Amino acid sequence: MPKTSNREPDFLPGTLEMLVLKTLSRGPNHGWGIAQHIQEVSQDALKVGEGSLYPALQRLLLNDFVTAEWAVTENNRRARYYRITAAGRKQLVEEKRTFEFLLAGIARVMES
Amino acid sequence: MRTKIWNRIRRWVGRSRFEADLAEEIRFHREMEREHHAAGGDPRQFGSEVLALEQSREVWGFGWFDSITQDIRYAVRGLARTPGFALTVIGTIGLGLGINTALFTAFNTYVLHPIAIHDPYGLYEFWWQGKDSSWRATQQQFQALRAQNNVFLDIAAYEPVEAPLDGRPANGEYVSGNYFELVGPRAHIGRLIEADDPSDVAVLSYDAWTNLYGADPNILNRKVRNRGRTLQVIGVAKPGFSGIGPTTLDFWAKAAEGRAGEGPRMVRLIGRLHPGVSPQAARSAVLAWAQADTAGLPAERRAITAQIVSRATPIELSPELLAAMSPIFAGFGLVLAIACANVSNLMLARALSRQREMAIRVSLGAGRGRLIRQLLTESLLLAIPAAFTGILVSHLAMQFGVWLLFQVLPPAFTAMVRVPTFATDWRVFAFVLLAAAGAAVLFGLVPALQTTRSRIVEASRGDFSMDHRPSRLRSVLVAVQVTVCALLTICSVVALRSQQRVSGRDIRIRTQGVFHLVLSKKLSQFEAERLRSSPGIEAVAAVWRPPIYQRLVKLAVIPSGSAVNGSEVLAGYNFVTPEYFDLLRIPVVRGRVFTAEEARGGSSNVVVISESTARLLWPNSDALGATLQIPAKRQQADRRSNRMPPFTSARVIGIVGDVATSYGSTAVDASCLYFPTTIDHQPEGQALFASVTAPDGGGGGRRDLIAALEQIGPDLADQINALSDVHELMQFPFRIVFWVAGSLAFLSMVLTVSGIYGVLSFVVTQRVKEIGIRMALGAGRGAVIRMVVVQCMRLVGIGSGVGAGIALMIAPLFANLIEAVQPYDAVAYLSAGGLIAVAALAASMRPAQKAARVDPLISLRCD
Repeated sequence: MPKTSNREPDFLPGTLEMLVLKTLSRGPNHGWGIAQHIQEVSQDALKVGEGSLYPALQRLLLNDFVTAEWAVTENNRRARYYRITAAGRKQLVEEKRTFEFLLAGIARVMES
Repeated sequence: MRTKIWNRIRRWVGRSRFEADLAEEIRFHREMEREHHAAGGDPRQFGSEVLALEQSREVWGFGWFDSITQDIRYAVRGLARTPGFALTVIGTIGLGLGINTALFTAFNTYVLHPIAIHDPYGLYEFWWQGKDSSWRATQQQFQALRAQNNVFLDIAAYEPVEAPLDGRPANGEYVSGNYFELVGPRAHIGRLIEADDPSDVAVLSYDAWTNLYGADPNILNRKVRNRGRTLQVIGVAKPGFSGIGPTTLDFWAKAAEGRAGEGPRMVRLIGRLHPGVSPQAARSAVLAWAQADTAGLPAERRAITAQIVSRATPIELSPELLAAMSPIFAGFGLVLAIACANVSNLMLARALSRQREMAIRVSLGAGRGRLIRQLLTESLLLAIPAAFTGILVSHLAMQFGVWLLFQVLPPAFTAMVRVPTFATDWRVFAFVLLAAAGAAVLFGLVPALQTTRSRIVEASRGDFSMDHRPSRLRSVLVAVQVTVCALLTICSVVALRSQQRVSGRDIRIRTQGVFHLVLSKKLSQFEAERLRSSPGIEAVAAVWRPPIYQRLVKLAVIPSGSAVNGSEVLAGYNFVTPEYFDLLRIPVVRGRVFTAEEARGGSSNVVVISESTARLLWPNSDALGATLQIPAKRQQADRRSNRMPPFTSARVIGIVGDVATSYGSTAVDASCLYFPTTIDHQPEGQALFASVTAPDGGGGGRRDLIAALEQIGPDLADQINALSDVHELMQFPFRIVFWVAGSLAFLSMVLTVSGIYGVLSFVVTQRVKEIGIRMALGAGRGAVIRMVVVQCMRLVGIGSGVGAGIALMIAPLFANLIEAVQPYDAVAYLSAGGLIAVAALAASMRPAQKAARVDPLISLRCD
């Protein structure tokens, strides 16, 4: 296994929050589910550890972008489900635009 | 941003629930991860659970709060165990804070607290000056400027009036009709003066209404007398408004229309700036207008400068004011510094007994920063109740100050003094809290740094013995205390000696049975004669600048036919009527004084000079009959008024005895030229002297004088002051300075003595073993006592020396201000040193005795 895969990916600041919001925009989910979803969709390119996921969730809670509620999972476990708020959706659009702008800029620099 | 703060608070309130949720959530995450892995999933990285929790917690930003509450809880427990220590600290710091808060409250009242008017920061007073330094505007100029200017929204005029209200001394102002609308105070009852009011209406200040009229509910429409006018009271101003200047006013009356036969009435101007116009721009505009307006006048009366000052506060805050106040602030601040040093010492002693605790905490992994924070929290915790004590003390101190003021003031003037309403606003609270926090750092930091010096190696070996530095530090603190104490004591002795010098001197003029009158209008020659011939009146004289009140103004003259021929000499000068010399018993040494004809400004240009002037101008020849040239151009003029003799050369016709009339000087006036004048030549409101035949005391003379004046006109006199009272009043500033300096010195002495006592007691306890050994080896009690006393005296010697040095360094600032103040007074230095030595000796007696009572058998047996 290459060494880099052991490390948590270095997210650009705020990117993880964007990914979490995007995940939640598909429906409420718990912390592990969010991490799992990001990893699956990115085809293992992005691995989210709890050390960065939970602080990120706290930041989203603090800004009222998500709400949290205890519920029961399919296999009858108590888990905390996060739900995106209207403010969170607005934030997602905003962050997506910023991100695309940034990405395009980076691409132009790399291709020059 | 608001939701964030609100969320944080909600999270803080339900923090135990939050912690539990987070922990459970992370646990769930881990279980899922394990199952996923067991099911053949790719393992993701496992971090520290604690760290994940910690980092999640940090997002909410309350970590520091947790540790601070811990610190506070711990500090409260510690202080509750030693209430005596806590109370001593609170009391000592509260005392220091209290007197500083009292000073700041006074400063705040005059300089920082805005007057209770509409938009105080838009209000400005302004004036312009010519070469002759006249600075008040005429009525015509006021009206013209009001109509023509475009920098002020409006301009109002006022003139100060110091004249009795219904026979009682009062300060007031005659104001233009738009004054109140422009200034914008509010009425407590009734209404304020308006533009279309008749000219006989008046408004009382709240204090005057309560103090002079017993808060009479029927005050409205009541008639009051002032300067022969009958005024109708139409309102009382709200408390908090007592004029826009530093003088606390009692009344405002609408200015009367100009009385016939009077010269142009002079007024002062205030204006409200247009929004967006800077004071500087307004000043330039005023100057430009004034220059145009005065262009047709003689050169010396043309405007050359203009001034504008804010009237938001009674006294404008300026660098000059702060510079003038700084010695006072420094004196008060030093007492607080001594109090801090005392507390620092106490804390050091306490810290030593906590060395073991600190060492244990260090070895358990506490960082030094955290320990210092803990100790500073303790200091701050003590500073908060100290601040409240300080507020209490400041109220007492101000009451004491006012009481002292009235005790020291000559009784004849107490009716004239008004105590302002002290403004205890948020600035005062902010000041006391800031000062308390500053003091806490000052007295807490050194002990905190000192106590946390425990090294981890020694601590882990179980070696908690203290090092010796603290006692050295404590000695330094005591020496600093003695330094400050010496400085303040020297200052107060210097002040005391100045006061004695002033009160004990002979001013060489008669003060008994002489009254100084300020009249509201000019006396005609006929009226003056009538006054002179009234029963009980011995003589009446007029003088331009009354003696004792102030320094003489100087004039450049050229004495001809003398050794100093051709060069200009500055000499004091005055204008007096011929009766002046006899009335004040100034002896005529040679020659004669003016005749009535010369006084009336006839053909002859004459001058009478004092003996010292004769020596100054004609050191080698006879002054009598010599001639003085008076170059018209240069003179050192007074700012407010100026008067030049109407001739350019004068013949000396008489030489009179020297007198000592300048305010606060001990020696005779270095020079004085007396030019002749007559009573009806005196400008309005200038001084008149009358002597009476009735013996002093019992008020007979004053009654005769009032009766005589009443015959000429009602309420003619604004002020009637016995010259003996004025002479006493002159000593008042010296007395106040002494009392303030003395009180500060006394406080610092008490604090220093208790500091010395504390340190010596502690040192003796610390050295009990050593003393025991000394005694076991044969040292006598006397030797032990001597050892303790010598240690104390060494500190006192160093401190006094440094204090005297600092006093000598600041002495030049005060050396040539007032002759009576002699800052290089050896007696002051020696007596202050002696006083401190005696006090320190007294403080060291008990610790020394305790040392002498050490029983070597007992002290060497313990541990």
